Amino acid sequence: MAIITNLDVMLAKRKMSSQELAEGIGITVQNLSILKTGKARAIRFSTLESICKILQCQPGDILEYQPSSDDHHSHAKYKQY
Amino acid sequence: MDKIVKLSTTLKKIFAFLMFLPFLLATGLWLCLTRFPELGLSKLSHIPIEIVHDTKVSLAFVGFSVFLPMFVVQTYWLWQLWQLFSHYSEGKIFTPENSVYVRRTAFAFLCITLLSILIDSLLTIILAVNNDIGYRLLFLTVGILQISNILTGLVLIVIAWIMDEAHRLQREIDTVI
Repeated sequence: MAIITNLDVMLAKRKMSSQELAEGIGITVQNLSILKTGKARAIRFSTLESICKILQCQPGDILEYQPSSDDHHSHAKYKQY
Repeated sequence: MDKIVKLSTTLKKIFAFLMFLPFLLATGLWLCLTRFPELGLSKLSHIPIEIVHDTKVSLAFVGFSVFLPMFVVQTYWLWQLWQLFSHYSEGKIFTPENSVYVRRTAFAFLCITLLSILIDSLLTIILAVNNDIGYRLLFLTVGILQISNILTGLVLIVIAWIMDEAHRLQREIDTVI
């Protein structure tokens, strides 16, 4: 997945544990772990809003796009058009 | 979800009880045939056979053996249903095991229908084997009941495939946070 989450970084900055964040959002620690490890296929806007509210940050602070090599090729093809 | 769990718990108990019923009923039927022939034959009244001579124990044993594959498949069918509704009673709905149970139930149900057609024909031969020439019969029937059972089995197979899709969707939903 080319979208990665920087939740660990934000949690460290805010000195908050995963348990506290999970309780604040209203999800389980296991689900938060799925998000942190990049196994999530999608995130709801409501969840993203709750995370940003609790961590006092912007969505761009916790989500980052890192294209893989396959994405580089398709991106180059797209630019040709 | 509550109503699924409640009804599934009841059905699980019913199927657990029914698992032993085919064997007990068939044993009782074939014992009746030797000890109480009129009572035994009245239970086989859907087969139009007239038994001229008395039924012997060996004949009853052969008839019981012919029924044996049907017991095995019926017990297996009820066992799969018991496992399926055990999962449902625990709230596990869209799991890969459940679609396997539904598929096995469907195939077992189809087998039972086909076996019932075959067994009725075999029974007429077995019961009439001691009859005089001219009083023997071969009986083969495929009626509305058998056709509707076959269609039900095919519908269950499609439902099993739908359960596979549902499990795939559930897996997708589980990774949406």
